[in-house]
Amino acid sequence: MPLEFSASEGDALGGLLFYLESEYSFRFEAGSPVDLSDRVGNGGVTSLLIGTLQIEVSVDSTAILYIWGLHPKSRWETGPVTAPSQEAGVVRLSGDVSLNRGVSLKIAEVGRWKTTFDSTSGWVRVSEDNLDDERQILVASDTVLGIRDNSLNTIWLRPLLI
Amino acid sequence: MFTNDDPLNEEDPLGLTPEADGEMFNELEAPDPDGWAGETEPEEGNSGGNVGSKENNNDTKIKATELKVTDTIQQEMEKYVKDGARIDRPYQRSVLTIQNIIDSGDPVADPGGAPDSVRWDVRGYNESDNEGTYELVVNLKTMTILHFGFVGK
Repeated sequence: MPLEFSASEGDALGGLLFYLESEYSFRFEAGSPVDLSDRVGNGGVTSLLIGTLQIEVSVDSTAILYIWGLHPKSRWETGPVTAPSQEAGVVRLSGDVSLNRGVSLKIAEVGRWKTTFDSTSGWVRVSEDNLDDERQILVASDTVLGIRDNSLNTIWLRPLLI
Repeated sequence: MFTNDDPLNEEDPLGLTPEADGEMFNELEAPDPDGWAGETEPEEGNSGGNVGSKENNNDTKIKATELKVTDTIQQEMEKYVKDGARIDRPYQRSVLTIQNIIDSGDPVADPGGAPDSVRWDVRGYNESDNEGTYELVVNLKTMTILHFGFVGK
């Protein structure tokens, strides 16, 4: 059963998003550990996986926190990626979903979603089929989630490349 | 705890003895004939690292104690820990769990395209008795864990 996502008003999590070439990975450093801890709550975190790219989620609130994890650049395509709209908000898993601390849920196997990088705009787009998003929500700094038909349609990232 | 500067060469960070850890993770399954660990074919054109055959794998067996983790994984392991009471992915701190995964069978070249890297997918149970699959990606050149997750069934 596909995971359902819903968006609501709220503030994006502040911080810095990196892509570390040496680790082939994204990393998110929260600007305020206290803010992050408050968002996580007492139930801990788990992640939704697109390949090995991790969408970190609060178990208590089911709110998406940030993106991190292994996502080798060698498999990215290059092409134009225009900046998404950046309406700040909170995206949560909705519907009948049960999360357990540290037990990830798989959205897609490795290679199923395609990644496009635009070195001019700096944006990275990760999506399964390039369909347009109905809503684009800035959930964390330089991190936008595209929602379509209550599903996660696109991940937009603008990392600092280091 | 293990860091880039402190390889996994000391006691299990969870304080588990090999015997106790063995009990904790004794349900980590060895590969079966229907295929789990090491049986996923790498994608066409994969330029990942060499994967030893079963014959030479014994000679080049990876020791979990010689592995380090990326700074990114290390950061995630430490991000929410308060007074040691809050660990979301405790399996990541178990050297013996990592060794069990490695020993379960031959890995495949990382299908995600990480250079010089191999991947294991191994069925098992976590410390809370959730059933799932351990995913482990290791760069053989740097002996670094690039990805280590547990995916629920």
